[in-house]
Amino acid sequence: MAVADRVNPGFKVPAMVIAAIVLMLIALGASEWLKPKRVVADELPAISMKTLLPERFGQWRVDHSGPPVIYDPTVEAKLATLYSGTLNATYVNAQGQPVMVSIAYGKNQNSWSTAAHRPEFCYRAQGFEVEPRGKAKLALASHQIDVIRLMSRRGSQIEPITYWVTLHDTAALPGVSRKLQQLRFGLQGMIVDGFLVRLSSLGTDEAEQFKLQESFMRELEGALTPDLRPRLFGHH
Amino acid sequence: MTVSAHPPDVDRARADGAFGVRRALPAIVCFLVAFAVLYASTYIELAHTVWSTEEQGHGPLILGATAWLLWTKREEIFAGDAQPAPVWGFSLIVAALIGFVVARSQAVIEVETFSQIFVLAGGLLVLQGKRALRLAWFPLAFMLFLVPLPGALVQAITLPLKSAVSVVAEEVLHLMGYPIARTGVTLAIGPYQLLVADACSGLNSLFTLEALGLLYMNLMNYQSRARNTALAIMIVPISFISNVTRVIILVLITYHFGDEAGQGFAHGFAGMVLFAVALVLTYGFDRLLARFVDDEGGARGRR
Repeated sequence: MAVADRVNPGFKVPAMVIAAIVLMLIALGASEWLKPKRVVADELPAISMKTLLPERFGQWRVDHSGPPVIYDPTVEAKLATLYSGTLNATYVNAQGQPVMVSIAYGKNQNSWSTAAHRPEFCYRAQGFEVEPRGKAKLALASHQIDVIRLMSRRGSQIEPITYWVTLHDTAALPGVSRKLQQLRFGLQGMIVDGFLVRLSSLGTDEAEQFKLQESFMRELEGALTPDLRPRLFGHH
Repeated sequence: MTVSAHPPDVDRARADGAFGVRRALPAIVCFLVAFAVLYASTYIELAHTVWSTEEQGHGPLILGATAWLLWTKREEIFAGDAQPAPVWGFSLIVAALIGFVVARSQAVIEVETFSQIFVLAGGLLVLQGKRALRLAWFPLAFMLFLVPLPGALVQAITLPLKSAVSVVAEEVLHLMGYPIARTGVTLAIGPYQLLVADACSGLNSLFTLEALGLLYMNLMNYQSRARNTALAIMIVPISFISNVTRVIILVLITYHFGDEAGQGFAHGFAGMVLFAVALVLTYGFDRLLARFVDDEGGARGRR
């Protein structure tokens, strides 16, 4: 028999271990206390997707002539779980050039399951081939906004895409900076909402289509009410 | 009853170890209970999100392996007198807990999961000391595989990996004389069109295989650093080859037996093939290494 067996160590927890345990419990309490509880979307004017965008603005008006788009019901169901609201519309300008706009609104951008999903992945999932065209900084009336440009192709259909996303009243593309911005709001106790705005048009000349989308974007910004503008375009 | 194969001093150390565990047991239990309370909801969240996906479903496996590794080392870790290192221990714990508080409250599951490694490391320093932490480094480092991969990272790696898998699969099948064509990540063979999906990129099996490989190395207990490093690095190409094999098998099954077979039972079968191929290649490479790196200090005992 080893010596060890004859020694009864007794029930003793060193003070240092107790201190470590207390620290852990404090951390648990602090993390509960710091969880954001203010749903900012509930304090702001409610978002109605139907009336979000004006029927006509600048040289653009909604084009109702196109065939109604029929969506895959499974995709629709998926979208309904991801977003609080979605909107799809086609606008045409005076020259008859169409721009398709697609907006998704999420009330809670803090939750992993309802945060904005990048269009490049949705497009790919639907069998489009998507090539990145990089980030661009576009000048709006009073500030610049970061957008992502993509080129998508399915069969002979070529569709350049411009998209951006917002978090509360700031524009924030997915990535680390968005995460940090979300932390900033979250640590102030705010559960923020966000939009994903996607513009696309059909055409093989990328530069021309991106220019068209840019002009659409500028005119749309000018046409929005001041309380809606930062929520769709960010500010400063 | 067999006669102990260990020299007497090892037996004494073990006895001492058993005593050490018993002496520290109340403190260990209290610490672990607090740890469990702290991280219970992290694990509930992981179970509901990341672990239930096909992509990173290896989580419970890693957790089990970590617990088992720590359990088998418990006597060694707590052998001898406790020599707590409170300054280091509490620095680690406080830093980890700050990360935890921010991550838990703001739902950053990656950081939340990551922080537990340092809480445990700090706990060992406070309970037993630096020697204990040195002995437990592998199980703790192994817990890194519990951390969900950040979405941005997954997205950045998945696409190039997927393209590479498609290109290699196409080349191989072409050499084998099959009527195959590829556009992007879509493979066309005969009348069938197969899309190499994100799940086929092999990114997730890469991490599972890397974890298994490291576990294998730890169990084999090789003393040669060169051997361990070579093996750990080789797992990356091995997992790529295994994944290409899986994709090729799926394409061939679809071509010969139709779409239904390819999407049905064969999908699960091909997944098993992936792991079988990877295991055979890893073991084969390890045997090959054994020829060049003569290492007596393997699983059969240290010199």
